Amino acid sequence: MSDNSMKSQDKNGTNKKNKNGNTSNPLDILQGRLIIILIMIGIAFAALFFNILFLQRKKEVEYNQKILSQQRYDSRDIPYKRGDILDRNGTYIATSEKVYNIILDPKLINTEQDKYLNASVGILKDVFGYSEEEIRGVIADKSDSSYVKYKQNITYDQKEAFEEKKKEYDKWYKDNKKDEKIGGIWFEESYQREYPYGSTACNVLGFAGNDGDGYTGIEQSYNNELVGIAGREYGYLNDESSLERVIKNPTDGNKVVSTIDLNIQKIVEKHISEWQSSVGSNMTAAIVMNPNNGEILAMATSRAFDLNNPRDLNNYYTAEQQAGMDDKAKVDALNNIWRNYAVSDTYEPGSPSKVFTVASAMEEGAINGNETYNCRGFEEIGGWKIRCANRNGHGEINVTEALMESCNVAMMDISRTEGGQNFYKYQKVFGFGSKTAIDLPGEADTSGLVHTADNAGATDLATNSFGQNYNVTMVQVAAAYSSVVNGGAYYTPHVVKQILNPNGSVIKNIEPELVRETVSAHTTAFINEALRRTVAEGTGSAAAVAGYDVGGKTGTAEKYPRGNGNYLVSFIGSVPAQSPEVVCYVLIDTPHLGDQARSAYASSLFSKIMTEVLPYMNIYSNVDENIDVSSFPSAEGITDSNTPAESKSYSTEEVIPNDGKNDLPGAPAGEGE
Amino acid sequence: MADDIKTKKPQKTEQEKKELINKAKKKGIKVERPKPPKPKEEKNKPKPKEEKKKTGRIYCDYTMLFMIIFLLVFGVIMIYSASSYTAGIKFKDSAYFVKNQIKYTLFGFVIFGVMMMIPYKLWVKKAYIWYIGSIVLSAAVLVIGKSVNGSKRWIVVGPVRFQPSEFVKVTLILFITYYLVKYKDELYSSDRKVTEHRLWWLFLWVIIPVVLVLVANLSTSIIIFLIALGMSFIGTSNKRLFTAGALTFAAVLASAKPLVKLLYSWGFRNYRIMRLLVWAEPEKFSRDGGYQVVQGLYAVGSGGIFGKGLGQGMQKFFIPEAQNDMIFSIIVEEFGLVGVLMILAVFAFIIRRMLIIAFSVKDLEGRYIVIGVVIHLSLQVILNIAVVTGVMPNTGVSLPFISYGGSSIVVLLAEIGLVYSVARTIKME
Repeated sequence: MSDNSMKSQDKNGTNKKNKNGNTSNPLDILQGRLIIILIMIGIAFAALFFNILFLQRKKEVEYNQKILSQQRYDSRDIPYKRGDILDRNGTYIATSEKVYNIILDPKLINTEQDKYLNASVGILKDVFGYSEEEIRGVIADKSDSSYVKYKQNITYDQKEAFEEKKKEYDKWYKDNKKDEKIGGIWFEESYQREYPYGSTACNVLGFAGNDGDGYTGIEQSYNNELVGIAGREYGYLNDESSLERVIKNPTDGNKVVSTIDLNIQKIVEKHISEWQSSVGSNMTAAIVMNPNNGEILAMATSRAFDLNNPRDLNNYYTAEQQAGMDDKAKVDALNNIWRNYAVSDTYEPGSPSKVFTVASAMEEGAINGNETYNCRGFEEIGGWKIRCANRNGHGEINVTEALMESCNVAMMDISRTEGGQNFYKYQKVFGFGSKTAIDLPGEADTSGLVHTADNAGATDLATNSFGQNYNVTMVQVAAAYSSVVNGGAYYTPHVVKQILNPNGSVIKNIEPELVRETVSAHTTAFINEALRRTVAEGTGSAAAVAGYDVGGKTGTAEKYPRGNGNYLVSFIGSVPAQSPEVVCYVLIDTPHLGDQARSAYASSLFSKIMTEVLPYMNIYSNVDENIDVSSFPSAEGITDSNTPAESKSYSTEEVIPNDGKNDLPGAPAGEGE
Repeated sequence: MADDIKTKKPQKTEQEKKELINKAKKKGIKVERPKPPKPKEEKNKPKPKEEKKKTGRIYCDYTMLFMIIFLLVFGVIMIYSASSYTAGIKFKDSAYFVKNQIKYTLFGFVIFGVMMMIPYKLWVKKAYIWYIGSIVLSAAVLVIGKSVNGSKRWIVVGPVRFQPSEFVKVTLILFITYYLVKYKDELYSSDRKVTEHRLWWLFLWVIIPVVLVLVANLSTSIIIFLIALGMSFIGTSNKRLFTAGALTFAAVLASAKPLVKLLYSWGFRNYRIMRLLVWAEPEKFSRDGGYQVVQGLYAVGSGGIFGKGLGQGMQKFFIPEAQNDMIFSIIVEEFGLVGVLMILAVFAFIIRRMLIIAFSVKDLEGRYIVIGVVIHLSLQVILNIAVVTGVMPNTGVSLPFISYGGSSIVVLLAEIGLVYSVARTIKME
């Protein structure tokens, strides 16, 4: 630049001489002056840059705070509607009701107190009956604020009543030429989650908190579908300083259609609570599911809570107990109540697992169903005398009878023939020790609660064969049992079948997920017939439902620690026995009786539930629809058996005598041994 | 700059020749210009391509073009960042402004190409026609104009709507060029009275559109006036008027803030006074129209060195029409001081490239046009940033190539087209 200017001056000089001094040269002046302009531009650029630099250094913190503080003030979220949850018949079992919050704008009211204050306070008092002093206090205290959430959960009717009154009052003020007006009160939309059926299906449904998140159940596991996108209203002052508002509408959440049938759920819950109020237990729970696709039709436990008021401890603790709890204890107590026993708790299954022992042995060809075993009432394994329920022994007993009589000795023999390797392979196949991946939160991890072929000793194998010394969850048993009775298809148990958009059109169908094949059709046929006979003639007789072929297996598991006389009785059954359309698993943990070890408690509960559920499900009496099992080639042995079933009578209940001789060896897998 | 020094000598002789020719033309004497290349071309008809290469390529500054495209693309990205939320609400299409801007830009490039191909001399020769046309349009907008955001600045013809005041900027650059070249001798006369007489006349010509535009659009009228001032400053040898002008201007600037506050304390409360008050004390009067300025200041002040990151700014929810004049505040918020430096550097680079063209080009008209465009461009950059940072009252100046707005983009690209048209006359050796 300096070169340039020097040169131009130089030229200027010579030019003037040439032109005799009456005109100066345009080009030189142009260049000289252009440089002046350039310098001015440069100075301006630099000045602006440093201006920004100094502005930031001086105000960065302050301005950032201001930005954050006004973020709330001028714009607000418009809530979305959380998606409804429907049962399989389209009944709304969880829904969101539009409610309103009363918002006060004390700043506005205080700008023209004479005009707004009395009118606004008056109408709030007249319509809602609020204390006048309190309102005046709020308006005075928060006089600088434009947003005070005064009351929540005002219904639509209340709001309408207010709006009508407001018109009436304002008209009156106008007619009477009073310079008063109602102002500074407005309503903000909000949603309140409602569960029309209270505690029904509470374990499956879960509930949504005020923060918009779901807790437990479908509300938690399908939270992402149920939530929508909040809209936003934001205001700004335009060129003329008037406030303009722009609204972006919210997107509502999707609807979730559950596989739960509200009516079946209600039947199950009715009988559970009847049992609980008459006899009682530590825990009574039941699962009803469709064995042919894994859909859970009902899932109930006796640990219920009101979904509309989930933090209420009154049903479980007295006022005094509650007063004595600190916050942590309360949270623990609530978490315990909300816990879904059917998914989150584990226990030793007991005799229903005999079904799996027999099925796996048949699959592996270790038995063909014609074998007989000699039960002397006990068997000695690894130095332990492991007893059968029948202290005197069942004597000569075949495989079918072993299931009917729930004989432990036969199971130990079968599992020994089968071998640990195969037995534990099938535990895996049946899904024990792994999660079922049911679409409910908090499924227990049982991987450390089962034995494996590597760490199981002879006594472990023996006790595992009749369902002791390893832990399972209810859904695991129900899903595995379903696969055995349906022909071998293991479906992921699930509680949701469809996702709908807010308008009700289908976004996604949740198809039954076939995980693996567990057993063959032949095994299924054999087991189904044996289970039918178990109910018809054997230990499961209490589970019988008049007019129906019911198949099922009882269970009477001694609880750990042993020797306390505490039992977990259960019954899992399928109807119709030969081609099941419904599976129901009933479990009673520690019945409140002196004589706990009677499976009939669970079996009769099963019978009561099924007596109502089956007609509802349009499953008709099918006694004459027996499938002739003899059509399956290798099942011939049953009908050709030397011991005709009719001539023999079996014990009609699984009862373990309370004679103090029931001690089982070892502890369940996962328990410290 | 070294190039310029080298080319100085031949330029000069060329210039002198032209002056002679012009003088001759005035006196009605026919001047035969020697045309040495023509017969050559005719002779060598079989291989014209090589001939062209030998005589020198046409000058085209690709680097500058690249920089301008960079600014346009950056602008589109920033417009999306600033406007997507509001556009999504208002128009159900978050890319609404971006799509429009891309359309404007493509149309702008068509105009750019046209302007580049047409010899600029044609425009200058008929400059008075454009001048009269722009006066008519500026007057028309006051009568048949359409209001947008409260200002009557738009003329709507079928689907097309444009701001005549943007059009005035180009026509005035052309007109002043015409005027300065036409009265070159008087303007460079050593007799002060002669120069001042011409300058006052020029002032009269300029003040008509300035006043017409002033009614609806203060900022554009200031820009037009300052373009005229800058160009005439370069086009004359007179010093006295400009010294006096500069001193007056400085005095007005220095006394503006106290004066406005004084007026307010005396009870003046009208619209313009309030606007100025907002400028003098933005936070105190933020509810009186200073909202946009204050929110812009918050954005600028909170940016830091590297900014909050593209799309992370929060102020776009509060700055009304953030994609227009206030877009620089969003750039500072999201890219920080680094972004500011980058933008300023790119503009400085473009200005430098244009000045190289101005120094290299051989005739006066081309030079004045380029200088006019340089002044226009730098003024808009400076005034826009000054407004955003609270140095100047909020008047509505857009940031060249970056702010949203069809008229602005098209007119700017037309001006750049003029510059490239001028640059085409440079013979590369």
